[in-house]
Amino acid sequence: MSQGKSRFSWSEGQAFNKTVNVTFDGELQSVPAGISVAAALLGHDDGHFCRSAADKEKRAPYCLMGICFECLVEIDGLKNRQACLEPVYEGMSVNRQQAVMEEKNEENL
Amino acid sequence: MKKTYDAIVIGAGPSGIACATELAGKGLDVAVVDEQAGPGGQIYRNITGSSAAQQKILGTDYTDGLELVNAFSSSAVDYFPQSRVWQAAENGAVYFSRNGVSQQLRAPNLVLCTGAMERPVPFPGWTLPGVMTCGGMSNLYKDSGLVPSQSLVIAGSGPFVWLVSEHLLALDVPIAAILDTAPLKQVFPALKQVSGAVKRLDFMMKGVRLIGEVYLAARKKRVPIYRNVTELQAQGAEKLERVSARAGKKQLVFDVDTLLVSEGIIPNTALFRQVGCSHRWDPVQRYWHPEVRGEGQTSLSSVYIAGDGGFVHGAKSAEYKGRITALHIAKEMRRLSTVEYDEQLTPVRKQLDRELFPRPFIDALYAPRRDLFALDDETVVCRCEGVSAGRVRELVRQGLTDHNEIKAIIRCGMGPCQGRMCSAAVLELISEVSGMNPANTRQHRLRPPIKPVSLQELANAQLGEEDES
Repeated sequence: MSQGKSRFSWSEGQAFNKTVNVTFDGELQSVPAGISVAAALLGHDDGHFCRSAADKEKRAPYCLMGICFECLVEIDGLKNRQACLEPVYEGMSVNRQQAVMEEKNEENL
Repeated sequence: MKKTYDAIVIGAGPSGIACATELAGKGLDVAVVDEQAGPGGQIYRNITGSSAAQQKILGTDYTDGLELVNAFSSSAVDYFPQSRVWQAAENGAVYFSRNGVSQQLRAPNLVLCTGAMERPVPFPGWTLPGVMTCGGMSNLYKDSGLVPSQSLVIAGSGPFVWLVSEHLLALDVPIAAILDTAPLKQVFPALKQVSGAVKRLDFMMKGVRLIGEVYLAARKKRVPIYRNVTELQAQGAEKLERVSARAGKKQLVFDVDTLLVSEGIIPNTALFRQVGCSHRWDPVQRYWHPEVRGEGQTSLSSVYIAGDGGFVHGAKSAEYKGRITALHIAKEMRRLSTVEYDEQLTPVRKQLDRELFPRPFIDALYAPRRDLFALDDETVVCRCEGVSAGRVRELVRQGLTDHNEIKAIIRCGMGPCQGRMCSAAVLELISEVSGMNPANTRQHRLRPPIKPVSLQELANAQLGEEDES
């Protein structure tokens, strides 16, 4: 399941008999059922989750408990979802949130 | 759908589920609203879904929660998981977002069981992907069994550093170094509080044993442990590549892509500040906490606190506090006579007292060290808006000593996290530059919605007809 790009791996003795299919930025992946989107994305590759609102710096989860808002992703078209609080489900589509600017522009319109 | 209850409990950690189970057992109508997908909070996260291997690594501190969670699951509580509370009000209204839809519930009693969070401490490079809290790592493992496969550094002070080190060593995770940032000299002032601690030698020995076992396991695996560590830095372009620090005269450098940090645990007060509860400054642990009386009463008559959200005392204490608050509410709602109340309260109160004996010692031993917030001007304080310590200092020098005013000018605390990550540091900077005692400063307030809700969702909100506006 891990693509070898991640700095994490699923620990041994961890039996996942069920998996679900999700897409990360359009790439189809099979991930263990029941885990959070944050865990799925961290286990998938070494990338970031979003870019900071102000500096556009790459960001990834810091707290993994709903406090830091550094894991914001777009899930099935809904922006600003906290990946650490959302469990994966079959057919879920997750996009890294690059478009903080777009939202700001929308606000300004 | 049901909209009104006798009590609404916010948070399904040990205090919330203990409180709700007790309330339901007394025949009260109870709703529990929680962010997570399952009950247990951070400490007992995913306990019913965890594997035997996970339970073995995490030990009895984790599996102790099973009974509590099972009792909650078989109680008559209306449970709303995956629900983000974005506003609560003194009149008993609770607004939350679930599956992209907002709704409102009401009750004459609100019990806020928001729990604790890691103290956010800025240092150079802390925003780089690859820098995470020890608690975050622990959650990741509980949630999914995910563990780091490449070399990492663990840095910080407090019991959590040792707990996570113990787990990762047992999991054979390659650890480049453990950096203990607790100053050795802090043992001496803590000794003043030792009289309470000796009443709980079992608890103290557990801590000593934990640290001893980590040292032993680390030696076996040739993982160096450095003490009195300072000048922690995360370096890299776009992600963590290197960790540097100083231990005495020795300059340390580690090429790693994961750094786990922890500088203690503080109450998560965001919701209390939004509701408008009075707070008090704790000068030892240096955090604001809601004012709380013996049975969880706050400055607002309809709002109660149970658990670490009021003051950090750990999971067992949280459970007992939850029960005590439930008994108090049941008495107030006339479901318990005074005699029954006293009878049922006494044993729980005894259990709680026993848990609290060693806390003043632990709090003093792991108090934030004096230079914890002695930040370089360039260090980013507000992660969301990229505001540096230097810019905050500039404004304080101009006479601003209110985080709310500073926010209005340089957006520090205005991003998605609404100051959850920066307010501890901003307060210390205000105090450092102005010389003010933090207790005399104005606290950073949160305005609703305190969780991201789209305008579309607010427009479609199912907030009930009796909503006054």
